[in-house]
Amino acid sequence: MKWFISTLLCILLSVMMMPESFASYQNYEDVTIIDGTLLADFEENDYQEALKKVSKRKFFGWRIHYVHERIKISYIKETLFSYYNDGKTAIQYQYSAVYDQSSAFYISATGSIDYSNKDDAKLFKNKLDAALRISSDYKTAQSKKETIQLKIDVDPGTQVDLFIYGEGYITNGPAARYLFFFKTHIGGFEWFEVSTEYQRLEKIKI
Amino acid sequence: MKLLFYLMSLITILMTILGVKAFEKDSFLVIRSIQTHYQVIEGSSFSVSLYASQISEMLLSSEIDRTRLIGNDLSFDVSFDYMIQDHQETYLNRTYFHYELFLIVPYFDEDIFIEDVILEITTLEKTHHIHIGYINIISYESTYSHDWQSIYGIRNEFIMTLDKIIIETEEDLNVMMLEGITYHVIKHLTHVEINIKTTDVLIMNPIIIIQSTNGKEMIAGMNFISSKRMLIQTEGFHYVYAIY
Repeated sequence: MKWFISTLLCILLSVMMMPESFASYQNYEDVTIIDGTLLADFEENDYQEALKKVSKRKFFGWRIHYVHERIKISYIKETLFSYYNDGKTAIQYQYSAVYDQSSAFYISATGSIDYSNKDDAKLFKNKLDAALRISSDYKTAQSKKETIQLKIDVDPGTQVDLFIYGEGYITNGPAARYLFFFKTHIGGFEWFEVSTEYQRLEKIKI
Repeated sequence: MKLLFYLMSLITILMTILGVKAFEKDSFLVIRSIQTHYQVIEGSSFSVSLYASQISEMLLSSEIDRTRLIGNDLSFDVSFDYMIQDHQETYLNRTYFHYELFLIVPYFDEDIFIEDVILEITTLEKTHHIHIGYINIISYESTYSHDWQSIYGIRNEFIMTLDKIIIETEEDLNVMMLEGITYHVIKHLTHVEINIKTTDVLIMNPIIIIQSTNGKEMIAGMNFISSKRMLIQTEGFHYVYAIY
């Protein structure tokens, strides 16, 4: 019985620790943070330590602790196209595409912290947004379509790759919500602000 | 009792004012364009971003009848391709709706450069003139593909414009940009650095011409830098157009 309960608790804990998020920065090809950790990469001990920071009871509202506040992050998002000329002559290659562009603002959460995607604006529920003082312009700064029209010559035996990389800021930490000194929600929050996206063209001889 | 009456009246007046203010809608439409240096290959499409303070009928595909580019010496029609209403941005406490107009430039016999170009939009009811920046329209010419490893841009720290373009190469290449851009090129052992000076317009997707004794190569259509928070990062480069 003890074994069953401890296994069940372990499963529940691991499910609670898995950050929920919109199809987002966690799926990028590569993410580099110089001095910090994404919520998804918190060690179990660090996560539990962070939760302790918000465990002091409060009459009403959110208790928040920032583990990382606007730390710089760089990432490689996706390869837009990769073209290999295996012919014998150079090819004039025109890449024209309309693709889904993603948001300038992402959120994720663990534990019992909820969020919604109302009217395309990403929000933490139960007024955690307001408690965290997230700027409203980030919430709506998302795009639906992006157009690319690239024209380039590609030599035989050459591969050309166009990919998107960018810079942004991560803020994360634990938060707990209290109602008449009772803890109603507890978990980790994280938001990611995209500041600039870049395109990079690479040519590789194969 | 009298004091209570005065207080109640004051609160009622204040509440009414606040209520009216909350429901007040702007009676005019503000459109902001960002003064940008557009560089386009003839016959191809490019997009102009407009930021409107309201969802407007003026900016509906079905309403747009004709689009033209107007310069000092030259004016011509550009085909209106399509338009998307994209993201929203908050700027100076006002929400702006981003509209992206896709226009197709015609073919010319020679390369075109227009400073201070105006986008004329004729709708079913009215004609609007919006300054959009500079435009180059050139024909695509590439005769050789040079041996470079990568091309990317570095943005200005404060403004959404390119400060540098880096071409990683060990070859001795001559790199040029189009008319209207002030720049200088520094050749290093491993890369060529193009330093761009910011003037009256922002540069985000310039055309690069790489030349050597072997031939000419053109790189066109790269969006070197982009952001979904453009208005705040392009302050001082806006043209503001209001429709009452």
